[in-house]
Amino acid sequence: MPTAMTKEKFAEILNELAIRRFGEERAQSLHQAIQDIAQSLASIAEHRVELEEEPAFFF
Amino acid sequence: MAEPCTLGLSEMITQIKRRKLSPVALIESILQRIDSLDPSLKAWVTINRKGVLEEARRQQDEITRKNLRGPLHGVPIGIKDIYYTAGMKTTGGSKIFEDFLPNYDATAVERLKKAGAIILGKTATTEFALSDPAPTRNPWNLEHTPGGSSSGSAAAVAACMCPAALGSQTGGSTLRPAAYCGIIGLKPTYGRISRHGIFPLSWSLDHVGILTRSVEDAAILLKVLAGSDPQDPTASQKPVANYTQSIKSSKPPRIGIVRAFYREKSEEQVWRHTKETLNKLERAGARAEEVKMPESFAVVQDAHRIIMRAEAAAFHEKLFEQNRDKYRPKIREAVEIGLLIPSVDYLRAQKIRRQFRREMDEIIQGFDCLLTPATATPAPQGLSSTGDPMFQVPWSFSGLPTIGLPSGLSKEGLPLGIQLVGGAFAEEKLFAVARWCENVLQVSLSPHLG
Repeated sequence: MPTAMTKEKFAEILNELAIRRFGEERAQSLHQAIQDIAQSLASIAEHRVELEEEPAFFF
Repeated sequence: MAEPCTLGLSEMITQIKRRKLSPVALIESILQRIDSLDPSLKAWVTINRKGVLEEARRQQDEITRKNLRGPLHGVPIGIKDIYYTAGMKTTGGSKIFEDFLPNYDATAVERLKKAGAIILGKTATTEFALSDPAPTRNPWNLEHTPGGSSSGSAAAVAACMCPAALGSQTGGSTLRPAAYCGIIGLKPTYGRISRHGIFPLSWSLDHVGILTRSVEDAAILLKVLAGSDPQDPTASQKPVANYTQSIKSSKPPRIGIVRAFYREKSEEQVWRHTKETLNKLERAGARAEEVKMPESFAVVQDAHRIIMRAEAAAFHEKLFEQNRDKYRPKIREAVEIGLLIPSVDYLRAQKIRRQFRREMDEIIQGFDCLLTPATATPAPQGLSSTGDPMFQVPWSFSGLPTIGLPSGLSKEGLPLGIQLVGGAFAEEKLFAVARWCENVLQVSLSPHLG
């Protein structure tokens, strides 16, 4: 069974994407924001949600 | 007689109907108040001075002919500058739209006008309703933020520059500024009021917000604004209740206290004040018990952050490519981060949103409302931040209705408040509870202004 992605892994992927999309300098200035969103992505990746649960969009 | 501008919305309505107050006298009093206070408070970005006086004269003539347009005839209302207003500038707090003149009204604005309200002007907002601050200052202390993003709306209502104003809430943008400024903030259930014609921040989290100085005034406005709208597929078809009748119920409520997260994040004086407030409510007959929050509550702030940034990026992507340098730092960062979020993770956050809502729907059935402090601290000092929305985020995320009430003053002399959470589309009950609390607490805050 695959394990949930870690904050570090998310941060690494997002940082690479930020460099490609916005350039190295801007990616550097987004460092803290990338760390924060990586933490959020890792937190929700660890949270158990039923397979059958559908996304909400609009209630 | 009190200065007309200091009356609440319901008193203005009554006095206009009884012909004890003319819309012209009311507007003149309001404009005088704005002239005197707004140079320091900076709550307004546009005042339709000539237009509102002409409209007040027209409405005065209509009263003479016994021809009232609706329940808000002659009453001035402020509108957050993210709502489209036909022929009146709508900037969204952004340089990109500094000269934008919409050719139609947002549905909410249209409904206010149809009910007879006079649209006084546009109130200051943070850029695109995120967190780059507006220049607005807190009427209780000019060195403190009024909160945001509905900064101008909250300051204007607190300072009696209008009896009520529209705001919006995606994270904490209505109840937080309401609490910081010592007034009532209402965020109805997601889908209760149409959002057609409003700059979106995040489609699945955006709500229309209402700011007033009493619970009754909020109920009057919700009655006018609620209902389905063919222009907004998220606006619910559920019937609109008679909210002004429901506030007359005076049964002591069953209150669920949300201690998890709120206790830990609150400044000590805030939590102590919340407990004292709860004690007053219990002495008056309310029954209170602690609520056990579901596991999903632990990831609500994270899932909200992901959804808001991803959706903001989706809305702003093209605009941002063409106007990058006109975006202020916080909205720019949010859009850029949103552009990086993987779609699968966005969808996971939306699954959590549905899970949390379902779990909260069950929990809330055991209570008339949940209660939390409205904010973790009183209004922070300085204007570089509008404070933290974390105490509102779970309810913007779940779409459940909330109302914020002032409950006292901090040691620094700044307003403190409580936040009540109701069941989905159960605003009738929420108003009844809020009115009961308002009557028990008897806290009506008014800042000392020049």
